[in-house]
Amino acid sequence: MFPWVYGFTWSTGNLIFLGIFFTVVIVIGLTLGLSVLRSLRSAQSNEIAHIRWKSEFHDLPAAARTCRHIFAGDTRERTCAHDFDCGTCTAHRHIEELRRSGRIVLHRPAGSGGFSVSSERLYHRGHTWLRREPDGTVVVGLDDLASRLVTDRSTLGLPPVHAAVFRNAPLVTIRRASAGTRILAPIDGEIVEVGGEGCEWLVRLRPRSLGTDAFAHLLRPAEAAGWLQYEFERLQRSLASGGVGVTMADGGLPMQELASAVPVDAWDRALGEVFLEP
Amino acid sequence: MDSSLIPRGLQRTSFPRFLAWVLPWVALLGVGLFAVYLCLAYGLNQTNMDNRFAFGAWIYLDLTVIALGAGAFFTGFLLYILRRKELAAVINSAVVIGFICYSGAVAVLMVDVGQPLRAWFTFWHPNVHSMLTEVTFCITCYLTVLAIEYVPLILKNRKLRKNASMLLFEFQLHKLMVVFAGIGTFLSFFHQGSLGGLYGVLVGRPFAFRPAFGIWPSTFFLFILSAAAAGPSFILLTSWLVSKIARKPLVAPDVYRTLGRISGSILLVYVLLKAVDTLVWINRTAPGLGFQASSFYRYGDFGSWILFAEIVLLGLLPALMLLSSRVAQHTGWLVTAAAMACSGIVLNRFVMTIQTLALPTLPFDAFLSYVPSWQEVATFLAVIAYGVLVYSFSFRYLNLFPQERELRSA
Amino acid sequence: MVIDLDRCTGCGACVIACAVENNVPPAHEGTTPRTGLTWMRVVRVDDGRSFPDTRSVFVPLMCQQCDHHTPCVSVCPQNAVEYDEETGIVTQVPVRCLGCRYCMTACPYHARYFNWWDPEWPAGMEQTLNPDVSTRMRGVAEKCNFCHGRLQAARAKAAAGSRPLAPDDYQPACVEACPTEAIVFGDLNDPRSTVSAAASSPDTFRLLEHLGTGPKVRYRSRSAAVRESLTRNSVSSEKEQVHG
Repeated sequence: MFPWVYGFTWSTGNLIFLGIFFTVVIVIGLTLGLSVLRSLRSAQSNEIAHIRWKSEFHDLPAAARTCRHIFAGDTRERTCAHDFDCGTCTAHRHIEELRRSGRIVLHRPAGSGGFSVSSERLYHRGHTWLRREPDGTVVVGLDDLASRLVTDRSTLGLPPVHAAVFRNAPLVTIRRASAGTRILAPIDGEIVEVGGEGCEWLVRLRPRSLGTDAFAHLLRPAEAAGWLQYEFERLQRSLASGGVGVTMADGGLPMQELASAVPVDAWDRALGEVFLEP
Repeated sequence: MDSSLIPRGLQRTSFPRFLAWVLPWVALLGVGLFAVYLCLAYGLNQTNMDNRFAFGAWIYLDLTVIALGAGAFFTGFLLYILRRKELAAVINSAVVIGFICYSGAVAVLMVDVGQPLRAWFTFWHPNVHSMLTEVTFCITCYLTVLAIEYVPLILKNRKLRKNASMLLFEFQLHKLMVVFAGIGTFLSFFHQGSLGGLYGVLVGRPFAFRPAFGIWPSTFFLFILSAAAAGPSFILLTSWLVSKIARKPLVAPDVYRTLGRISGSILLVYVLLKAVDTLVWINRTAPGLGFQASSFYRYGDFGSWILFAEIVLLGLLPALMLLSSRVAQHTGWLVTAAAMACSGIVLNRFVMTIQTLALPTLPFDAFLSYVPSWQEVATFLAVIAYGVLVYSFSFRYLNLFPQERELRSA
Repeated sequence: MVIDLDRCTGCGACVIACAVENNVPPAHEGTTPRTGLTWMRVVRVDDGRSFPDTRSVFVPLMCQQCDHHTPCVSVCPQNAVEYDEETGIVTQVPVRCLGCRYCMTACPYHARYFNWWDPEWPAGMEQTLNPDVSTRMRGVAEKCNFCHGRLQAARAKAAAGSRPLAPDDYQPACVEACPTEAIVFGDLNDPRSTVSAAASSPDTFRLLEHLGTGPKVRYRSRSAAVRESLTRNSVSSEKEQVHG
């Protein structure tokens, strides 16, 4: 194997064979080493949140990765390949330009399936909403679908004041017996206030940036209406196929308290579907 | 505890039922491990192999499972290098099957050799002219690659991914997967071929010997093709089988069709080349060594029907079936064709390993028979039990079929 | 090496001499004709007729010492089979052998043997072991090497006398033991040697000549029937048995 091993000869066969072998070993070793090195590096820099989201996004079912422009009626079929980061999506930029020039009109779909959508809020795909306050902060709350699912505020673990939060990284944890998940933060920022019982929002954030890019990935109310209906149907499909048999909808309005309609053993799945945790 | 390890959104049977499924296989594995102990402690006299039948059931098993495990490299090659995205639906399962096949084969090889502790000699004092050296080097490297490809699947387990370092490593490893897919393909080409070359170079065995192209006998190339054909068919077959056992759809029907088409086209090429190879062998190679090819088929049950079964019945027929769009419409027929294709390859490996050794060479030799001892059979079955166990646990706790969730809610 | 089949009586003295010389252990309990360590064996080949018409020939069979491209040397993954360019002898190196048995599969003469059991000698018998030949362990292959121990001793003697090794410096044990002097051993490359003369006789043949392995063990018989029955391939012999 090596020149100093007894019986080794510098024959052509040996050189070719061992040359290929050592190349393979070195490539395997280097690739493995590189991924260890990269993961160590990303562990030190604050990329964990970013990578965790990328990885989770990758594992989401295609139905959960539908492009926002379907809800606005801009396109018929499209699955997001940009981790819901519309700022990096060329198709999104293109459609927005068309819209600005008036060639595409953003029309609000017929109904929102009975979910309320507020015109002064922006919506994150992880079912939180965000409202920009005059003082430069934003408040973040659960949207209508999420708040019908999570009715008990005491099950929510809110972050402490001054905590840094990152877009698409866990903001709030939900703990229910035998099921838990996290709710994703809509934008980067720092917690400045935590909402109390009865408050319409959960936390108040000071955004890291107030530029349009920081909010480009959030759904506008007109998109959110169709999206919420889509999400509700998706949740229903998922629950129905598991033999759970939630008998809501069929064109009717969703139950006031969705929470009580979801059986205990389907909670985990329901939370995962809604809050985008694969 | 158990349910928190099962991927979210997937339905798995209750833990007691899972245990009931697993336990018989554990028992089988236990018996096999006892047989392995006997072989290691008392020597290979525990087997029914002998000086004349020096390779037996175990070598046959190795050649077969490695051919069937070729789906891992070939799917990886098609997905990561040729960018056939639709195969992402089966790549995880293919990697697990490949890992099972190769690790099982290596484990059996370790029992099969007389001095397992000297296994490193092959690396230290390699004879690069031996096909077995090529096989040993390639299989060791490729098993490492398969283990590396298996790791991200494990790290994606629901519990493990909560750990940030596991998640990061998985993420970075997955980004470089194309390198491993490339190396896996390269290594697989060589060792699948060398397994064919193993017998093709045996000038002392006119039944197996084939003329060489460059340094490799024709069986080298035939084995690569047949493994590449059998791999996708075996994945089709296993995916279907698992979906029947689990009683839920795991991959979309068009994935079955894609696998069938890929397997069918390669099988067709293989069968044609195999036919040419056989004709050359009958008319030139065997007579050149002083043997009439027909003489090989005069013993016992090993008549020329084997040749017919291998090339036409389990070769050409399934190849045409897999390529037929009418067959592709019915998963049942598609699975039948895939099973036939796999059986053809399994039969080919049997002919290569067992029939080659059974046939006499010296004028005063007799046709030999060999029946494996219970220790050999138990070890053989233990590999199957090991495979079922690894696969069962992987299927329960890892997300082997990315489409499963969507198909369920479709 | 040339073996005169007409002289061989099938007495088996060569087999015994070989086993004693090369420290072949006694057969373990449960050994069959196919699992024993028989570096040398004498095969009786008959013409398929029944007694009293049957005609038999005894064929002493050992490693045929193939030429350069031996089937076994090239297949060994770890160089445990060596071809000695000087003597043309194919040698097994048991301490390097992994026991994969690929060489045994490759050998068309079935002249390679595997240690299926631990070698054991009855108490006291180990005193009779030949100190010039190392014993082998379980799980490795071994075979005839034309009495390597004797070759080494002859080499040492030649070196002590500061002269090159001469072809007749040593004889393998089987040659020495044969009471009818049926086996002739020497340098086939030396045209003046007895073995060359015997090898060039028209009634000399090699087993499985068509395979192109170039064995350095030749057989001879004046009987054309014997020559015919040992050189045709297994097809016709099978046919004959079927018809006979």
